[in-house]
Amino acid sequence: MAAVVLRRLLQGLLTLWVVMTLSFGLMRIAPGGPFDREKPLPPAVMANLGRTFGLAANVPSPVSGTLLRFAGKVRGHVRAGELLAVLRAKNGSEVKVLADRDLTLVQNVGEAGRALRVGEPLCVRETSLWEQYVASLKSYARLDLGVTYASEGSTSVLHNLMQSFPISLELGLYALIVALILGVSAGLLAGLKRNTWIDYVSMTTALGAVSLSSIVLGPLLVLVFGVWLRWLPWGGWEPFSFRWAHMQVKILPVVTLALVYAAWFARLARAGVLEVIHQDFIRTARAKGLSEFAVVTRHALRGALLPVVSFLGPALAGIVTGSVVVERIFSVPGIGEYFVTAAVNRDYPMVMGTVILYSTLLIVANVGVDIAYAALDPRIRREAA
Amino acid sequence: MNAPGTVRLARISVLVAILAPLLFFCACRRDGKGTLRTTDSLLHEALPAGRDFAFASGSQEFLDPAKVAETAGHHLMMNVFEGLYVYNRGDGPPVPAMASGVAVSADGLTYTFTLRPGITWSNGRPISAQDFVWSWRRVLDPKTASRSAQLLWFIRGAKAFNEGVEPDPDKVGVHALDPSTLRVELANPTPFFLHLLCEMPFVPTPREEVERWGDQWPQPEHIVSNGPFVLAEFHPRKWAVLQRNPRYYDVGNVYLETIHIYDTEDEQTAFEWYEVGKTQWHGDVGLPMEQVPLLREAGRVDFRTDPKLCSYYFSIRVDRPPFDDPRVRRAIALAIDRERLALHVLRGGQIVSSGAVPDLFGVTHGYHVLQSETFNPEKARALLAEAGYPRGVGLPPVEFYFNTGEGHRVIAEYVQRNLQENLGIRVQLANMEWGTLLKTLLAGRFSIGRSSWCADYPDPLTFLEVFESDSKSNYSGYKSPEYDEVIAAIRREPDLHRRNTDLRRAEEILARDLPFLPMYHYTWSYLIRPYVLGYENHMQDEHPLKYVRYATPQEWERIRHGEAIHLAPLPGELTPTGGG
Repeated sequence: MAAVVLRRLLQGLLTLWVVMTLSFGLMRIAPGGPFDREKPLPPAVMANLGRTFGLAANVPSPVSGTLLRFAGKVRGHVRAGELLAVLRAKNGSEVKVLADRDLTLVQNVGEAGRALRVGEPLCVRETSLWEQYVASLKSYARLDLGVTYASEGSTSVLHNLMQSFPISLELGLYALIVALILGVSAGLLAGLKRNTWIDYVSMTTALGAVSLSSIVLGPLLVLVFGVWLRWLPWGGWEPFSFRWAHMQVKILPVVTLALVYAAWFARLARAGVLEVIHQDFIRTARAKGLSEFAVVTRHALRGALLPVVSFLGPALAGIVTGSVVVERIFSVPGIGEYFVTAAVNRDYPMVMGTVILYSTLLIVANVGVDIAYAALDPRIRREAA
Repeated sequence: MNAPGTVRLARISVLVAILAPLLFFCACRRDGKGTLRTTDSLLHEALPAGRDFAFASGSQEFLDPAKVAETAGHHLMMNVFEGLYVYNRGDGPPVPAMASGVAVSADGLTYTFTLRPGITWSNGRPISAQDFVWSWRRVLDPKTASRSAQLLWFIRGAKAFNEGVEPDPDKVGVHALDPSTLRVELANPTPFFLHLLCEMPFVPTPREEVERWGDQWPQPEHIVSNGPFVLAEFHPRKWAVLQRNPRYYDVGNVYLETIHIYDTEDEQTAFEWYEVGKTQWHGDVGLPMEQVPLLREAGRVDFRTDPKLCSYYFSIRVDRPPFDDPRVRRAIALAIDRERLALHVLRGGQIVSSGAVPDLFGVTHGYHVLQSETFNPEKARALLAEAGYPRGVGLPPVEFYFNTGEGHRVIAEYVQRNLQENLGIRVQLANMEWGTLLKTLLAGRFSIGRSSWCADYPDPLTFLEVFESDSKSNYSGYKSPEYDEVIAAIRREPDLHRRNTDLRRAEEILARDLPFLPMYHYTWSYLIRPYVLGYENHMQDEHPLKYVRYATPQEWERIRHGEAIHLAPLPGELTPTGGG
């Protein structure tokens, strides 16, 4: 048993590393950097930002002396062995400083005539992808997710995640509960009253909800309940509590997110009921003279719930991660926003933070399920041994 | 079970499923205008009972005024901190704030500020000239890595210190002569220096708290500030609350008591919040594009459009034939009917431009921009013929690069049609993602490409510098020693009148050489409740909330009867002329 757990955990760790490396690569392939703007920042400012966030490093002067001139390039790629600058050393000789590796210049520090000591920055270069990758892996190994660029380094990624993830979780859990209640009862009714108007109405609604998706449903609900009827406020989020003042703003986003999943649940529950309802044990139950209510609640419901339960896992993951659109529409300060804005703004640490959080969650859930299976099913246990 | 009945039922339900949403959308469309508030309903609102004010703002995440570089967080910070000078109420010269006055040397290079007596931080600690020295050095310190540090480079020695060339902060030209006197030495005469002082990087930051709490100092539990309001609550991406600062030197004239800032990046949400009365000003998020013409046509009393210090134009690569011939560039410029574009296509109140500089410097600089002809197809055809391409014959198709979105395509298509109709020039449109366009422009691999420029500082020079030979944003590859010389002269000139002559000269050279296709100057549209007074048109779009107040019942009655009440600018410090 311990061997299974250990093996699954190691596999999980490996998966996490692969996901991290892929995300790192994808982020850097995307053109543009975190500090690119319509108005280019001056090289000195870029260099200061770069050094602060580990994206740039100094090229130190190898000698003491006076700067005569730079090779001319203000920004751009320089190959190993190419000229960077010419200095006049203390003894009067001219020293040519060559690049010791392929590099991208960010800044040539100062102008001709500047006096330099050994080790003082002559230029500033971009750090290589490998350097950045190693640095981030090191900090992740220390469980340090870094700071966000959007906050100019004043907010840690972890802080942002801890602020926003509980909100996404809250939204997701409410939505899941609402979806379950709505979906299962509608599916149950539809299955039991097959080919009646109840069936058609609930299944058509379900089809509609699935096809409309939250990007249409959200604004529609806002229009009807917020703008026309003025029943409910929307936009923003309130702290966790069950007071009406705090709950009311959450109703529209929760319902929007829930409706789509409710539709899935309804279809699954209906299929489940249909499969169960004609089986022998139901006929037996009826034959025993049980009331229809008892037949449904004791026997049919269990059968109907089975497919729903197996869909619960993916649904939970989807509902928590998939609320990006809903969070956007309703200005919910959850984690979804970071998926979009952090990626668009090339806020590398924030993107990596979100990716790591979600991969960890999914991996832990999967490993948990596997371990639970192993505990429950002797065959799997034996296989592993 | 009745099979045909089932089929019929199924058909009906499918039909309903398809039709219901359609009907719904039709209803929405027809009601599209109906959902807008009417002027009448806005004028029948009761005046607010309290002195609370609310607006929406886009994700304010970070609060260190030394680093706040973009819109987000700006409106919060500018009401919490205040520099030596502050923006006026509407277009007018800067108003002394932490400073009570200034003396400028004859060469326009040395500014000696006297601090207002008795000014304190929100915790009661006095503010001294040394606070400014420390704060400005902090902005410039390479370790701070401030994106807005560039604004301080007008100060002597600031650039070298910020670049890491000069490690000694004492070489930066800002010194405290005594606790209430600050001396600032500039690198060049900078007639707009007092305007610059209103910007966020120039505000003082509380040394003790910054040193004690590090990056956490701007949190509400630690922050100490000096502006008309203090930060009472701050929930990133949710909301923030500001309270009037009882220790502010002019607290008697600050009307608002509490300011609520609701966070959203969604323009529609911000708009709806305003419509239902959650906010009094819809905020800094912008209005949904499709609402702007609707609001304009509805003639809503609370809908305002202000000009901005931003210019939309196309860069023309001047070293590529046939655009190396200025006559061709001029012909193209004259063949575009910009008035019609602004009036009927864009419908955002855009101001048609014939040059690079928006005409907004009359009040502050006494400078009126060069106005030249923008549309003359006859002359355009003549010029093109003169250049050897009568009716466009012999001209290869022209490629127009623009970036996806924001209605750039509409503009590009409009230009395409104009050039085809008026000159017979064939235009091919090519749109690309923003980052890619920027790279293409920087590399100079284009003939005509969309560009824009927003002022770095409130002076015509910021628009003219773009076309200097070694300017990074000079995508046109325009190199004119004559122009560079005039720009250098503008930088040196301490006398405002002679400087204006030079500015005009630079504009004339640009108008002659035309390395770009001027299109229009941006405007920005917003909604603000009609009873809000003191939120006046400002060319930099800065509106300190300390000037904002609600109408008195008498004033409200007048507004209801159609009167527009504006509060005049305060007597500020006119831009010092130095030599004058």
